[in-house]
Amino acid sequence: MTPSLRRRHRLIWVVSAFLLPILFIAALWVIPEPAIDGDFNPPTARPYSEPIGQASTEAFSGVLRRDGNLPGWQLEVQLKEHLAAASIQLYLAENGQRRRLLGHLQAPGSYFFHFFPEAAPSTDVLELQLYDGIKRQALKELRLPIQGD
Amino acid sequence: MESIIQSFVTFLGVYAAAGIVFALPFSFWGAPRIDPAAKGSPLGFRLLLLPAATALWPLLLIKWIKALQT
Amino acid sequence: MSTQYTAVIWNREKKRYDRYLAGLIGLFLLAFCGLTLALQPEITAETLIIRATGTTALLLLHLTLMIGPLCRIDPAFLPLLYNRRHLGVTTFFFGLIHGVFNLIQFHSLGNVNPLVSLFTANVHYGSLSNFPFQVLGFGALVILFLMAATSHDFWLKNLGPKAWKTLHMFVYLAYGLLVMHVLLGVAQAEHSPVAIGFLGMGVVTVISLHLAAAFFGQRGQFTAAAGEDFVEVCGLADIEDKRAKVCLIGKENIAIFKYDGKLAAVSNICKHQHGPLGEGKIVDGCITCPWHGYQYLPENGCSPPPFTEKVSTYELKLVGDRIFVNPRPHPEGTRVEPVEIPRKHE
Ligand code: HEM
Ligand code: FES
Repeated sequence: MTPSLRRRHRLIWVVSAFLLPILFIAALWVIPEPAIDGDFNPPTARPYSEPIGQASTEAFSGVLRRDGNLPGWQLEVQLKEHLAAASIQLYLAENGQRRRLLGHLQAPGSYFFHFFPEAAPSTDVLELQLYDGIKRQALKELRLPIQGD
Repeated sequence: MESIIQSFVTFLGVYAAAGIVFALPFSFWGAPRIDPAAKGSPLGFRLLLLPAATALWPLLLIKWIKALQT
Repeated sequence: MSTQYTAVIWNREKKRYDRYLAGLIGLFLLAFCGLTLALQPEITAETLIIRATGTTALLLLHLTLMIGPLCRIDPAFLPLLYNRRHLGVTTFFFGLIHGVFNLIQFHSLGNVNPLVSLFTANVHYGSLSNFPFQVLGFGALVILFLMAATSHDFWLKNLGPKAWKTLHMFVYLAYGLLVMHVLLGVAQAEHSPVAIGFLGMGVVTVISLHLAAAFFGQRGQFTAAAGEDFVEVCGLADIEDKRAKVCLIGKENIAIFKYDGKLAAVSNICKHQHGPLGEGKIVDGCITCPWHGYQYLPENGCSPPPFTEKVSTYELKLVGDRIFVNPRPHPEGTRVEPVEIPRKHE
């Protein structure tokens, strides 16, 4: 390597040593609200005993359940059609705005998510949104009325 | 925005197409012209030149013409 | 060292290098796919391919970027540098598979051209969290393509070392683009602390190695201003037998070799890819470049026939046991009588 080439390398890396960490941290900073518990639910999860709401569209359906002996709510989502998206995220939404990330879906099939009622923006209706994390756009929505006690 | 990108992608396509047309003759006749060490080199080497010849064709065309003039 | 070009020069070391490389990639893919399938059994094949190839490409790029500074810090790593271009080309191919699968998966369904779709599917160019990170990956892929395509020695010679080196320095830009490709892409979408942690470690490693090499890698190099005729460089005992001392005098980068009871000085810069000749050894009477083994005769800087590469030579003087060099280069390939070391010093 010639000395001038070495100097160029050095300059590039001194600049990168400042720039890359700043960009790195900035990118972490803007990550949307993190997922609530239940991100990686085992696919074999058993349904809770007491359904308290359900709804269905062509693309996907949901059943909300609880269980007298267990804390929290369980949401079963059935993805019925293949959506061309590599990262399908399931959100609790409020008037179309994503509020809490529940987890991820992949191929059509059944998925279970667990969360506490406090996480839901409303206690009358559970608004679900499938969101494409790659293209950054909403894919499908579903409103699931909750039957109170 | 949409139309700028559309034209950019069209330009890329035309550039690449011209590059492909250029690359074959370049790797067989142009390369030995600009670098005598490439004379009589094996087929594998010539095929290996194709990708870069496609990408850099305007530059290589100038080099080729200059080599022809000397 | 070429009288004529061939497609790929494979010799025993390079084959071994490539076998290790293939083994490493195989193991990594196995581990990556195994873990992914265990954690997300419902993952589709396309997604698995996209993730495995993208991650492999980024891992290989990290290795590629670490080799240079490692060699400067410790020559024991030089064997890794020897065939770095195969590593680079492999990186490109994995990135290409990843990119093509992504274009098919996300951008070939509609009736717009997939490339147009790549740029327009997400137009939040002003946002950080929603930035169209795929465009960053595309930019990096274009850079990796240009580097892989021009990696043959033919291009080094015919584009000229300066243009070629400049082009290949864009790998640093590609690296930055890819770090952001992952941070603004998967990291925003998946909140995966493991992936972010690994990427962070990678970035810290690459940056610190380059800084360390830039600031501490000049071990024992002698530097002086130009101007005088002969410049005192070092003592005889400072050079090991069949090795060199490197000195930078003004703009001249000179390697002074000691071998067979003689001293000779040539340019430190190899004609092939500007490798540091002074960090090489004398093998079979020839200065042998540590990077890819180009050879030069110490007394005239010429590659032994039938090769035609030539480097500049310099005058030396021995006063007592102190070595002096004249930093005015002779034209490349000029014979300079080596300085005999008197018996009493040997
Ligand atoms: C045309 C070029 C490219 C496109 C369209 C593209 C697109 C994408 C997309 C959509 C993802 C998210 C995938 C997912 O969440 O499953 C991704 C992730 C990623 N890409 Fe790229 N990419 C390109 C080039 C590259 C290149 C050249 C590299 C590396 C050398 C790379 C490395 C990665 C890595 C490491 C990830 C994260 C791991 C993962 O796939 O989940 N990408 N890319
Ligand atoms: S730089 Fe390749 S042999 Fe010297």
